[in-house]
Amino acid sequence: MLDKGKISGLQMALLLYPAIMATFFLTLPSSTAYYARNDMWMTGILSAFFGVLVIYIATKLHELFPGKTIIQQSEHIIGVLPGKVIGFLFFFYSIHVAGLITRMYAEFVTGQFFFKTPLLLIIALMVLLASIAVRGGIEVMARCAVIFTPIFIFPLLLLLLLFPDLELHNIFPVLSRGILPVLQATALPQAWVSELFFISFFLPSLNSPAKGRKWGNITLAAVLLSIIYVNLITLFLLGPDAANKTYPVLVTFRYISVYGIFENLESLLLAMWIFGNFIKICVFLYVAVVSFAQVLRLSDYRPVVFPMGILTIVFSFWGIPDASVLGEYIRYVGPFEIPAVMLLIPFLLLLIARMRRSGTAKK
Amino acid sequence: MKISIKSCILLSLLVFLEGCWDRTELNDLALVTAMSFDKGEHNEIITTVQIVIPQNQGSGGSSGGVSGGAPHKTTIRSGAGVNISDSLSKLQQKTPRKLFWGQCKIFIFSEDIAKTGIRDEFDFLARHPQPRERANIFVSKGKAAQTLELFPPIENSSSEVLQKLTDFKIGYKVTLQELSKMLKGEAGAAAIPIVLILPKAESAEPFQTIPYVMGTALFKKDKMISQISGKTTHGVKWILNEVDEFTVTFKVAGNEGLVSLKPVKAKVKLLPQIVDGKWKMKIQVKATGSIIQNGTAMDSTNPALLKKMETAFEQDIKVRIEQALIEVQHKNKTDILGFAEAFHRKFPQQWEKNKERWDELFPGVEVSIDVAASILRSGLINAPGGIPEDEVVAK
Repeated sequence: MLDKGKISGLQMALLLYPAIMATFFLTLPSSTAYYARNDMWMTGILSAFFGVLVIYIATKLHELFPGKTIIQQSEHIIGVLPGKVIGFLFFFYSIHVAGLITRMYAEFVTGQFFFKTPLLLIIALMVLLASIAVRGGIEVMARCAVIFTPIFIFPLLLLLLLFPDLELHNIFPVLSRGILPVLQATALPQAWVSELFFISFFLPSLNSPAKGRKWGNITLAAVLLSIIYVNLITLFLLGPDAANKTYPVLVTFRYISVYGIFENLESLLLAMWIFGNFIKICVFLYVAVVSFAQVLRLSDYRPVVFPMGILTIVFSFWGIPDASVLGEYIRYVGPFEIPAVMLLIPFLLLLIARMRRSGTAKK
Repeated sequence: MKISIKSCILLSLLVFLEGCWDRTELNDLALVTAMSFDKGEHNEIITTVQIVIPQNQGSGGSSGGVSGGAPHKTTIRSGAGVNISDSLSKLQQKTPRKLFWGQCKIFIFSEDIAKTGIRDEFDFLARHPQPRERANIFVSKGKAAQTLELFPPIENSSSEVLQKLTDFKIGYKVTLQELSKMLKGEAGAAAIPIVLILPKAESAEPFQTIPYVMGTALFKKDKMISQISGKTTHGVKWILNEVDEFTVTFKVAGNEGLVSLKPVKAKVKLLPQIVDGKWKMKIQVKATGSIIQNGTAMDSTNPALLKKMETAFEQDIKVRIEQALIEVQHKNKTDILGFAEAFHRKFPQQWEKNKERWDELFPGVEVSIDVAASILRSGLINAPGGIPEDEVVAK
C-alpha cells in the first residue's frame, strides 16, 4: 500500500457514510417516488441485499489477497495486462464520478443559494480543499471525517421537528400496484449502496482488517436506515407531491417551523451538504489517485493529487451541459454503470480467484 | 521564503472566502412581507408587493412628531406583465432595492385570477427558490392589492394580521405546500381561504383597518368554481379532522336558551366502504367540550340533564356536517373533504379502476355520520348562573 497511514474501523465507517449519502439523499425521495410512489420507503430495505453482497465480495477478496486493493488484486487474479485494464477502468470510473459529484454539489449550491457566484469557482474551491486533504493522506481524511460526519448527520435529526405536519396515513395503500414499481425504484438506491465496494481501498489501511466486514455492515445499516428515514419523512410531509420536487429534502427542511421562531433551516442543510460532499469528494478523489498510482506502480501518489484535482474539475463540466443531462445520467445511466463497476466486475474477479485457488489446491 | 509563499496563499484566500458575488446588504434589500396577484384590464398580471419601510419600524416614540398620526410602516408597489416573472421584473425596475422574499409569508390571489385558473402562477411559486413552502395562500374578494394597502391599527402590517389570524386555527388555512399537494392529489380539488376587508371603525383614518379571513374558495383542478360561507367552512373542518378550540353553541330540545361549549375538541375518522358496488362513507366523530355559557335553566351537574345536553351537542355536530356536505358534495360537487384519498387508501384496486370517474362518483357517495360527544366539565359554577335557586331545573 502506498499510504502508510492506519485508520480504525469507525473512521472508515465515518468516511464511507457521507461517501454514499452526501450527494444522493437530497434527490433520493423524488427519484424513488417517481416509480414507487407511496411505497418508496421500501427501496431502502431492498437495496440492503446489494450492500451486503458488495461488502462480502470486497472483504473476501481482501482475505484472499491481504493488504491489497482491488487494483492490485485484479493483476494477481487475471494477469498483469488484463488487470491493468480493470485498474484503469476503476481509475476512470472514480475520477468521472468524482467530477459528477462535484457538479451535483455545485449545481445545488448555485441553483438554490449562491445565484451569482460562478459555478467554476464553487467547484474549484471544493476540489482544491479536497485535494489538500487527500494529499495529507488517509489519516488526515479520516480525522476530517470524524469531525465532519457528525455535523453531516445531526441536521437530519431536526427533520423530526416536522412531526406535527406529518401525515402518517400517506403510507397507505401499501404495495397497491404490486412489487414491480418498487423494484424499478430500487435501481437508484442499490447503485449508490454498491459504492460501499470502496471499502476495498480502505481495508489495507485498517489497523485491524479482520473487523473490515463488521464495520462495512455497520455503515450499510446506517445508510439504509437513513434512506428509509429520509424517504418516510418526505412521504409523510409531501405525499403525492414528492416525485415532483427537484430537492424534496430541501423542501422538508424549509418547512420546519417551530412556533415561528425556529425556522428557515435550509442554511443548515447547505452547511451539512458542504461537509458531506467534502468527505465524499475526498473519498472519490482518493480512490482515483490510489488506483492511478497503483496501476502505474508509482512510488508515491502525492505528486498526482493536484493534477487529478484538475481532471476532476474537467470531468465536472465535460459532457454535462445542464442540470437535465445530469438528472438523466443519475436516473438512467447510474443504476447500470455503478453496479457494473462496483458489483459485477469484483464479483467475476472473486469467482475467477476462487476457481484458480481450488484449481491449484487440487494439483 | 516558505513563509512568504504561505502568507500569499492565505491572503489570496481572503479574496475568495468573502463570497462577494452573493453578498447581501440589508441596506440594499426591500423586505417583502406579502404579495398579491391581480388581473389587469388587458388580461395582464399585476403583482403587488407589500414592502417594509425600515425607517418607520421604531416603536414610535421618536417619530411621534410626524403630523397626521403614526407614520406608515409598510408601502405597496406593483408591476404589470404577461406573467408573474415578467411583472416582477417590471416591479423591480420601480424599486431601488432588491426584492427580498425571506419574510414573505402571504400570497393573495384575486378572485378573477382564481376563476380563470392559478396553474401558471402556482408553477412560479412552487418553482422559484425564494417563495417559502410554508407561506399562506389566500383568495381575495375584489382587488387583492387593496388588502395589502391597509394599515392595521395594532399590528405592523396587514400581512402580519393575516399571519396571526391563521395561527388561531379557527378558520381554514392552506400553505403553499398543502395547496401543491391538493392540486396533485387524487381528488383534483382544492380549497383556499377567502380574505375580506373589515369595514373600518368610524373614528379610524382611511385605510386604517385589517383584512380578515372568512369563508373558503372551492377549486376544481386549478379553477375557482364557487365559495362557501364561514359557517360551512367550520363544517368542512369537522370532516377534515381539524377541529381545535372551536366554540359550539346549540339549543337543547324542550328548553329555552342556548348552551355554548369551548374548547370543543374532536377526533374524526373517515371510514370508506364499498358494499355491492355502492360507495359509502362513514364519518365517525368523537367530540368533547366544556360548558362556558349555559343560557338554559338546566343544572348541568345532574347526569341525566347533562345526557340531554350531550344528545343536543351530538345533534348539532351532525347538522353542521350535513350542511357542509350539502354545500360541498351535492351543490358544488368538489371533493375537498379527502374522500378520494380515503377510498384510495382502503380500496386501491377499485380506486384505480374508478378514479377517472370520481367526479361522477363523488356526489353519489352515501355518507353516514356517527357522533359520540361528551361534555367533560361545566366551568366555575354548577347550577345556571343569574337565576334564583328555585327556578333551576334540577331534574
